[in-house]
Amino acid sequence: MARVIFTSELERLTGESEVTVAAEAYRDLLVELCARFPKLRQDALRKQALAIDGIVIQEPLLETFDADSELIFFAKIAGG
Amino acid sequence: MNDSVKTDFKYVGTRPVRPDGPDKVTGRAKYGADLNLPGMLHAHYVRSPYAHAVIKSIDFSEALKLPGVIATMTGEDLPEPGDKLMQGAEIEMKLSDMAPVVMARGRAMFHGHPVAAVAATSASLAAEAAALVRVEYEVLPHVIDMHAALEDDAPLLHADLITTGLDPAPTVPSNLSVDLALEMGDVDLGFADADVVVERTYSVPMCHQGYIEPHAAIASADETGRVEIWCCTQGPFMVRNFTSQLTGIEPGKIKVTASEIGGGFGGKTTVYIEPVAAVLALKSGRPVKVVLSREEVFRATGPVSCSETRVRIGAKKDGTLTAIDIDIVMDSGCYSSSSIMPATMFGAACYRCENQRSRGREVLTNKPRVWAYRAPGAPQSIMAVECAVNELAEELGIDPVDFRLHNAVEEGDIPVFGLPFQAIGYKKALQAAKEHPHYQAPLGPGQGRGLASAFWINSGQQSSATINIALDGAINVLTGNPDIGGSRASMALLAAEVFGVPVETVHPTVADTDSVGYCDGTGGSRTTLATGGAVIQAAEKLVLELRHRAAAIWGVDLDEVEWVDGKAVARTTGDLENLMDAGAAVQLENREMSLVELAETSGATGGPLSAVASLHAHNSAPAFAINICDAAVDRETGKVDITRFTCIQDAGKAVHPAYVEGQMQGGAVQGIGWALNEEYLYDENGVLENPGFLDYRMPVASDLPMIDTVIIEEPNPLHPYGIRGVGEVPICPPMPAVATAVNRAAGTALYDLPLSPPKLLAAIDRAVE
Amino acid sequence: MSLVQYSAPSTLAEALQALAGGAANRPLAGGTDLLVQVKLGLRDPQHIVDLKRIPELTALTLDDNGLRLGAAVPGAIVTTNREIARIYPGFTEALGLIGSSQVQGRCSAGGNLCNASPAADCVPALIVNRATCHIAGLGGERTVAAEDFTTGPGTHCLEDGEILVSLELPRPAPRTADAYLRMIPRTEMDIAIVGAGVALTLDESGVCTDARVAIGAVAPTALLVPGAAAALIGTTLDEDSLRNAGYAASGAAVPITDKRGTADYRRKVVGVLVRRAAAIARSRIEQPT
Repeated sequence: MARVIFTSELERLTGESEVTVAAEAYRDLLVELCARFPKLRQDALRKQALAIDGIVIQEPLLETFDADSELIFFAKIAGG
Repeated sequence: MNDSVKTDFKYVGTRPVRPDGPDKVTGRAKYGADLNLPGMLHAHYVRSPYAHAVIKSIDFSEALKLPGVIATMTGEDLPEPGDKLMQGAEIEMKLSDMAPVVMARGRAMFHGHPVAAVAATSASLAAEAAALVRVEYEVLPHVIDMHAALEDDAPLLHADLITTGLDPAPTVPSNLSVDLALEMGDVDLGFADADVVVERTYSVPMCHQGYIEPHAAIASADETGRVEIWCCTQGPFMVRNFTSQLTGIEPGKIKVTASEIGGGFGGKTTVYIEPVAAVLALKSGRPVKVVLSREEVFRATGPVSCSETRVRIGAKKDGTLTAIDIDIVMDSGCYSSSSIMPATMFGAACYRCENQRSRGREVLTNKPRVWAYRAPGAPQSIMAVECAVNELAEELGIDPVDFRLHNAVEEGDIPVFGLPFQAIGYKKALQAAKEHPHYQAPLGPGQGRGLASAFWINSGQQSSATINIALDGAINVLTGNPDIGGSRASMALLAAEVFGVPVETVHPTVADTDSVGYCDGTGGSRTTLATGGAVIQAAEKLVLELRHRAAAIWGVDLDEVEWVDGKAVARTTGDLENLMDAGAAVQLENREMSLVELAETSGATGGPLSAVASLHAHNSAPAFAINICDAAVDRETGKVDITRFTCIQDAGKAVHPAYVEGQMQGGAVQGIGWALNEEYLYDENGVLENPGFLDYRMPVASDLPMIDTVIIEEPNPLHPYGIRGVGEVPICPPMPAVATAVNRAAGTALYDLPLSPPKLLAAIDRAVE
Repeated sequence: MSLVQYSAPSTLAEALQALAGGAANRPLAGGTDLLVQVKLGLRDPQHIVDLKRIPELTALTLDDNGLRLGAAVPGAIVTTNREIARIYPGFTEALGLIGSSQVQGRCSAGGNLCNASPAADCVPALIVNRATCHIAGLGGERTVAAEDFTTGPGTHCLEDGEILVSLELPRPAPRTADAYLRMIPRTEMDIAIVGAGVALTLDESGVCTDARVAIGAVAPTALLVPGAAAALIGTTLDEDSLRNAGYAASGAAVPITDKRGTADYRRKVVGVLVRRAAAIARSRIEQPT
C-alpha cells in the first residue's frame, strides 16, 4: 500500500497527516482519496503536482507507483 | 550517488566563447524592436490617467479623422474571459485575471492601465491619435497601500473577490485574495522550549525586474487568419498559448518567433503587447508594431510584490532551532498573481526545525498586477528569516555560519512544504563560505559584514530539441528557448559532449514555434536542465543511429561498434573473406569512421541524420546559495558603499562556468539594488513618481565591487549530467546579507528596505539619540 | 511633437533674429535637456535654433583675466583641459558630473545654467567662482552674476529672445582653490539630492581671507550663503569653523521633501558637504597638485 503524506494545507481537509492507499495509479488515487475524504475535491487536487518518492511530477495524469511509494501532493510553483 | 550520473566531461565545464557573442557585440543581433515590415503600422496605447475608474465610454471619432489612423482596439476586442483557467500557465491562473491586464475591461484598475490602442502609419501619428481618443471615466476611490487595502472601509477592487485558502470560505468579499498557512510540529511548544526568541518585522519594497530591453512586438496576419508574431519574450510557446487564449485565435494559427532578448528575469514570462499587436494586425490587415517606452514598462508591466513579513524564531542556548513562525503579506497589484505560495513555503527552507508555521496573505491594490522576478516570492520571505537568524546567532554569540551549519537541512530532512530533500550541497556551500578568505578577512573601520543563505526549488517543465547533422558533420541544435543567460553556449557544450566533437562544430539555434517541438519558457532555472536534457537525449539517439550505420557499413553487430571521441570504432576480427583464407592469422583490428565520414555517406546509409527529443522534466533539484557582504556606511550622509561581496552557490554540474558565475553576479547586483535604492514610489493619486532609471535607482557598474563567486558542484542525482539549475537562487540571499552588513556598520536596526540614504541617516540619528 | 523648423545660424545676430517672436522658438546647445524634454512631451517647440555654429558660443579662452567659456562649449572640452582643471578644480569636477561620458560630449555649463534645475551641479561651482553671465538680445547686451541668473525651478532671468552667450570666471587670487561635492545615492548617472560648492583664499599663514559658499538642491535655486563664508573668513579653517560654516549652510537651506529625499535630510547633509568641500579646497591650497 502506497503512503500518502498530506501537507498541512490538505491535512486541514482530511484531518489526517498520512494515509495508505490501495491505488497504484494517479487516477485511482484521486478517486480513492476523494471518496474517503469528502472535503477533498478532485479539481483542487488536480491543480497540484504529485511528488512520487521525492520526484515532483507536474502533470501526473498517467503516473503509476509502487506499493511502497511515498506520495505527496505539492503546490505548483512558477519560476521567473 | 546514482551511477547513471556522468561525472567525467571533456567539453562540459569548459568556457568557450558564446555562439551569440559576435552578433551581440557588433550590434547585428536583432532585438524586439529591430524588425520592420513593409506597410507596417505603429500602435500607441491610451492609458488610464486614474488609479481606479469606471470606463463609461471610449470615442475614437476624432482620432479616426486623422489620415493614416487605420485601426483601433479596446478590451471589447478580446473575448469575454469567463471563469476559464489559463492553459499552459505554470500555476493556476484565471483568464479573467489575465485578460484585463492586456486591456482594461470596463474598469481601469491602476494609473497607466491600457484602456485602448490605435494603429497608424507612423509612431508619431499613432501617439497623436491616441491623445485624441476621448474616454469618459467615472473616478472611483483607490487604494495603493496594502495595509490600507485590508481595512474594512477600503475601496473594494473586485466586488466578487472571496479569499481563497480559508476553510470555511468567508462570505463577504474583500481585497484579501489569498490566505494560506502551512504548519508542522507544534510551534507554541517550540517557543516554550526556546532559550532565546527573536521577533521582528521586515519590509521589502515593490520593485521592477528592470530588464534593459522594453517590450516590443510586431504581428502580421495573412488572408487565412494565420498570425505571425515576432517579439522579445522568455517563451515563444507561452506567447502562442497566452495570445491564443486571450484573443481567441487558434494556437495552430499563431507562429511566434522570439527575437534576441535584452533581459527578462521572469518579467517576460507573460504577455502584454502581443495580443494587442495580433488583434490590430487582424483588424487592419497590415503588420502592426508595438514598442513600449521605458515609462510604460515601469507603469504597466511586471512589478514585483512589496511585502511585510513578521518573523519569530526561537532557539536553545546551543543554537538548536526550536520554532519558526513566519507571517508574510504580499501586494499583488490589481489582480491575483503574486508569488505568495513560494514566499510562504520557502522562507525557512534552509533550516531543520520540527516546529514551523508559515502564513501567507496576498492583497490586491490599485497598482499594476505583479509578475515573476527570479525565484518569485522567495527573496521577500528569505530576507526576513535570514535577518532574524543573524540576530538570533548574534544574541547567542554563535558564528552565523556555525549557527547555520548546526541547523542546516540535508538529505532526508522534511521542510514545512512537505517534500523531503534529496542530495543537496547546502552544507558544502556553508563550509566553503566559512573557509573563504572573504569570511576570514578583517573589516575596515566603519564597515559591517552580513551573511545570508537561501533556497530555491528550481523547475523542470517541458522541452524539446531537434538535432540535424549536415553533410560536413556540422551539428545543428534547435530548441525553442530564447538565449538569455548563455543557453546557446550550454546547448552546444552538451551536444559536443555527447557527440565527442569540438564545441565549435555545433551550431545552436533558437527556433520559432513552427520549427521545433514545444518548449516551456526560459525561466524557472530550467533551460539547461530540461532543454539541455532534451538535447542530450536527441544527441544520444543520433549517436545510436550513427553506430547502426557504421555497423551496417562494416557488416558487424551494433554491439561491436562503440562511439569514441566523435568516431564510430569497432574492434573486430576483420572481414569474413580474410578469415576464410586459412593461411592468414586471425587478429583483431581497429576500424574507425568519423562523424564527418558517416555524415557524407548518410544518403546511402538510410538518409538524413536527424533526431528529435521531447520530455517533461521531472528531475529538477533545488539550489542553495550563500552571500557574504561587507558594507561601509557614511554616518553623516547615510550613503552605503558595498566594499566586498562574495557569492557561493551549489550549482550542480556547471555546464559553462562563466555563465553560472554571470547568473550569480547578476542576481547579487539585482538583490543589492533592491536592498539599497530600488523602490516604486507612488503619490497620493496612485501615480508612480519614478518611472525611469534616473529616479528608479538600479545600481550602476561603479556602485559595485567585483562580485566574487564560488561554484559548488553537488551533482543532481536525478539528471544524467548532474545539472541542477542556476538562474534564480542568486537573487535570494543578497537583501538579508546587505541589510545585516549595513545595520552592523551603522549600528542601526533598520529593516524597512530600501536602505536609502535619507532613511538610513534618520535611523542612525535615532540610534544615536 | 510637432516641430516645424530647425535652423543653425552662424552669427549671433542671425540667431537672435531667429529666436525673436516668442517662447515657441527654443535655443539648442547640446540638447541634453531640451531633446529629452521634447521626447517626454514636456516641451513642444515650433522652431529649434541650434547655437553650436556661433563663434561666441563655442569659444574658450583662458588667460590672465580668467576663463571665458562660450555657453555651448561641451563639458568634455572643459574637463579635459588640464590648465582649467588646475585653476578651477571644483568647477571642472562639477561640470564633469553631468551625465555620462556620452552626455559630456554635448552638455555645457551654459546649458546647465539655462535648464535652471535647482539641482544643477555646475551652478554652485560657478557661483563660488564669481562667474558672470554674458547675455545678448536684440535690445543689446548685459551681464548678470551667476547667483542671480536662475529665478526658480526651470526659470531664469533671460527674456524671450535673449541668449546666454558666455560665462566669465575671473582668475582666482593666489592661494585660492574651489571644491564641489554632491550627494547622490549612487556613484554616477544621478541627480544631486544636495550639492555644495566652496571657494577659499588663504594667506601665507593659513588664515582664510576670502570665501564663497554656494549650495544646490536645497532651495528653488542654487544659493550663495554669505553666512557660511563669514564663518570661514578670518579663521584657520579649524574643525569648529568648518562645522559652523556647515551649520550656516543648513540654516540657509529651504529644502523640500520629494521622491529624492526629505527636507530634513537635505538640510543636514548640505552642512556636511559644505564642511567637507571646504576641507578639500583647503587641502588643494596647502598641497597643490
